[in-house]
Amino acid sequence: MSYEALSASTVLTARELSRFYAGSERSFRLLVPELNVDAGSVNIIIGRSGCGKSTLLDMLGMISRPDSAQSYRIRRNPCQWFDALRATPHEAEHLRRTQLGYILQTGGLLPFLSVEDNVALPRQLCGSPRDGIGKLMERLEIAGLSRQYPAQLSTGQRQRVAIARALAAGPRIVLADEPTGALDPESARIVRELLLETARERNVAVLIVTHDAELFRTAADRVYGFDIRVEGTCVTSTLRRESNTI
Amino acid sequence: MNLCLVLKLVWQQLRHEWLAAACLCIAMAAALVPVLMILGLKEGTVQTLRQRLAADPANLEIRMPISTHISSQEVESLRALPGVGFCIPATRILATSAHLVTDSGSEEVNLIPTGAGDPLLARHSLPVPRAGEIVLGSAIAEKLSPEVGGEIRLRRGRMEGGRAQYTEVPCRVVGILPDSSGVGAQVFVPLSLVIAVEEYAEGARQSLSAEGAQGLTPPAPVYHGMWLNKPGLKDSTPDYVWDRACPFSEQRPATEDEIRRGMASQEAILFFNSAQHKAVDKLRRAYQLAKQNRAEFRLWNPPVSATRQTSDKTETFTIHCIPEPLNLRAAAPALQIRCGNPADAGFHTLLLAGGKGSMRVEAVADTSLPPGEWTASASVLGVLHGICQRGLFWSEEAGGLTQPHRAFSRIRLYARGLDDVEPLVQHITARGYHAEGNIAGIRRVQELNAQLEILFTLLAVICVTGAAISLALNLFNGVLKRRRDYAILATLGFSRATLTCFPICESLLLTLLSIGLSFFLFHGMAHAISVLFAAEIETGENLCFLSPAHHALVLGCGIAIGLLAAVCAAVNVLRTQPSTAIREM
Repeated sequence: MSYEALSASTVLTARELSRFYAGSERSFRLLVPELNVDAGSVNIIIGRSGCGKSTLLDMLGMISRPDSAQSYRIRRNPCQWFDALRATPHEAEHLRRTQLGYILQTGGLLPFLSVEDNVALPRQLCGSPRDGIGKLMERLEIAGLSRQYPAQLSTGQRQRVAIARALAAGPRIVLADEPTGALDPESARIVRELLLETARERNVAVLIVTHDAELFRTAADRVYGFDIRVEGTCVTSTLRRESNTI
Repeated sequence: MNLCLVLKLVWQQLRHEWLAAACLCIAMAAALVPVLMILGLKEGTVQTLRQRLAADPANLEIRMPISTHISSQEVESLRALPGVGFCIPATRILATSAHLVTDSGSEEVNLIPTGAGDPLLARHSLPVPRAGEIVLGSAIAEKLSPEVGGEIRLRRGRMEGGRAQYTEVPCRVVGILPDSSGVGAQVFVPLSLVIAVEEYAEGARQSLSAEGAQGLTPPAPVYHGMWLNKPGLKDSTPDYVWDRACPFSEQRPATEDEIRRGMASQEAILFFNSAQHKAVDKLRRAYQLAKQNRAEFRLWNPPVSATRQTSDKTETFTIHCIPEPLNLRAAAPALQIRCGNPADAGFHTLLLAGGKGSMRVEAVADTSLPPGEWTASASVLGVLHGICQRGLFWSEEAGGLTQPHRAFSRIRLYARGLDDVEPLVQHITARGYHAEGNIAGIRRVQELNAQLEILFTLLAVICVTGAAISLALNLFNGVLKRRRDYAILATLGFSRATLTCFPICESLLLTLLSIGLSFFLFHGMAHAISVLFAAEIETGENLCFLSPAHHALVLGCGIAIGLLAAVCAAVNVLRTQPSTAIREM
């Protein structure tokens, strides 16, 4: 099988990732033949529930490991790659802190921290000063909410805080799991704009897992979908690159 | 691992959920405060009983009710025993009686020797009397009404040569013991004065001197036997009359040597005790029996070996006895011995009986004696025997006799603490003395302590188990509730090790807060108990209290339980997969 050639701007590349789940009635296999993400690009992965979107995101975020893989690398700097498959837990944690930002469906904010503390936490974890988050919060229009707690925010506000937190430590890649899944169409549009604009301004690659293809497709550099194949009790879901156009 | 960040986050977490944290702390304190109260009451009660026992020096006293013979060295070795708080020798009980005389009257008292560290005086914060000072018992003070700082005269009488004599020494009153001390007709004086009183009573001293620095006078003569020149006297006298009259149990006829030396007649019988001597008063009846039967009565003493040091040699010789008649009213004999060699006449300091004593005597030449022969009257030999028996030595500096290795009849000994009493009694008994102490009273408190300990342990186990389960379950519940938070922290790059620190830090913080709250409530309750029972307890006593060691123990146990619960919770954190937890909504 031939693979796409990597460019100088590629920040994440994965080949032949595979993850298998054995259930009591059915088993599930996720296959990722190839996935390349360029710096500053917007990549969306579209699929219905249960096709393995979140599993793929967790593997890419090194929260779970693939059962088998040919390669999975993240660019550490212009001339050095980080081999995520051979990473020790300590290296993986360091990479998550410095290179990756994570946005969950409902924000994934810590309820006991204020908005400002939530946004500042990744920087504190990296040992960076807190004061770098002011502009980011202003850009995402949440500066006025800094002393509020997540429970006091609307879902849209929480997602903006989550975007700010994902970008706070200056990562190369942001992984977003259904970032607009819990929002009404208008709020979803605003969050999409803010996420994509802020990422583009900072040259951050964005990998969005969503079932709302229409919201992101027009802005996407690359679009991925899944081929679902059922053989007996085994469901195999294979990641496939699609055309950007509808 | 950024522990400061973890602590800060845990603190923010607890502050955010302050109500749940407060409920947990109160639940823990509710289990812990009864444990502390029971422990505090047990410690306080036992401690109060012990304090009350220890406050009364009578409970620390180790009594030696039977007069014995204790050398100065033995006193020092007893004083050096572990657990001895105070130890001072005392003289024979009969020799400690004296009279205190003031202008308003006189009272008989017993002298108690005292010194630095005397617990009887220390308990009542009274000064230790020095030379010329005295502390009075309450009963005496009541009768004589002296003032502290005022002067009182201590008088001691004796019979000397059949005549009553007394001597007085002025003493300044430096303290009066209260009624509660239980000290009645007793006064506390320095040991030197007690010794001086005994020496005066025994005739070894001309007067009392508070300093006790003057030399002793030679003791009264003692006699080991008597000659009677009527061989059938004993057989012709009824046994009960003889037994009452004669203090000696052995008898023998005169030896040829004694007859040759003119010490006894052919028919004379010597009644004697080889190991025991008698004072002249004890021979009065025997003398009267002899007089009634017209028998000749002569006092006898065995010869004494003496060593004298001349400028060029050391000479050892024997001083033989010249029997003499009994004179009940005779004054102390002049210490004169007779020598056959005129060149030996003069004053000599003689070392007696191989070093048992020494004395300065005057040797008078007696031409009737062969050269090299030394003799002395029975009374002079009696004085020399008395010197050897009491271990007296001639001192040129004191101008009299001194007693460097004095023996005592009794001892005042106090244990340092209640727990020292029984081991000390056993130790002293093992040394061959008869010793007693308030072991039963102390044991009662120790048994009460042991029984309360069992009760406390049972209750503590129940309460601590409850507290531990409460903490463990609450932490577990907390960890389950926060699984998603921990998963989010994992996505941010917190390591597994750091994440396990969260429940551990949370547990420690909650435990410390709970223990702090428990101590606060306990001290409040202990204070309330002190106020409520103020009428029942004395100053310095505490019915409910915990020592710093107990505080540390409770803190240590609490932290240990908290850590144990935290480790269980931390295991749960480690088992949780972040990928599943972050999507649990």
